[in-house]
Amino acid sequence: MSAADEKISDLQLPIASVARLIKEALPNGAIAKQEAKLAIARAASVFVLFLTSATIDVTTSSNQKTLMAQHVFNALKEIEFEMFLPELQKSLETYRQAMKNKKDRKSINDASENNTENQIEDEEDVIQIDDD
Amino acid sequence: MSQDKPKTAENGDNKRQSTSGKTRLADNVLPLARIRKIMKMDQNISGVNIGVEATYLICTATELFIQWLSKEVYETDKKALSYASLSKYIQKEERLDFLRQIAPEKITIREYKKILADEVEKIFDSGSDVSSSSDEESGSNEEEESVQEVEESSEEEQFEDDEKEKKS
Repeated sequence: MSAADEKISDLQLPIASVARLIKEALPNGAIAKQEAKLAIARAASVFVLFLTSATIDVTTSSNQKTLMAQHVFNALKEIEFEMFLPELQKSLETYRQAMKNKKDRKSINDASENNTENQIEDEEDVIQIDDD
Repeated sequence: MSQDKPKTAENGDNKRQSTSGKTRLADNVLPLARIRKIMKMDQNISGVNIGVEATYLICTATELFIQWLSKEVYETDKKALSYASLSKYIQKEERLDFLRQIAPEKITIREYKKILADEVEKIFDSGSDVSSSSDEESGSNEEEESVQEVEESSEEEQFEDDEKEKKS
């Protein structure tokens, strides 16, 4: 029972973040009812599952073992959300640039042995994600 | 721009204007770790690894999805973004098929009773439906029987245990 409860809460996205995204999207002063926010948060979780499932399909059908950026793009086309592609491609470039900058910064810091706590945390993040 | 600061969601807030189509920074409002957790719920995930970029893209796509859905629904009724207009939109938009079960339209009890009555009528009208529903019934009976069996056997064990205790 408690294990199942845990799983359900694992599926939920933080309502505050979702509410902020909704606010950003709507014109200033627009009202969004709490019930609608909760339903959109739930819809977003289901969207993650749906897109993940489509991405896995693309990955496995191309005989690969790791979900890659291109697989997500193809999956979005598959589920008819290709209208997100231009913005996602732009955002991926920004992401790659940011990762590159982070690495550069890190190597400079490593050389001077002057790491701040924040950067150590960043480093751990990256390692954790690579492990899986 | 904010390269020297640690990247937090708050930091990226004023720079992200995805709705107007400007470039987003590599920050996410939604937590990547949670997105990853949800991704791992997929039953076919066991054989594959999740790339870092894939997680980032799915997270960002979900943010775009939230904003797209909010805007679309708001356009249909500008009084307020409400559950009713959301659910109506989901029912009519074909690519949102996958959401139909989680946001059903609200109905009154009277409407519910009418739908129920119509369904019953349909079952009586068509022969094939009757047979399929009786199949379901027999299936549930079997389940009940097996549950009873389990209970009985556990009772027997209980008896044995009691007897052992008495002997000792």
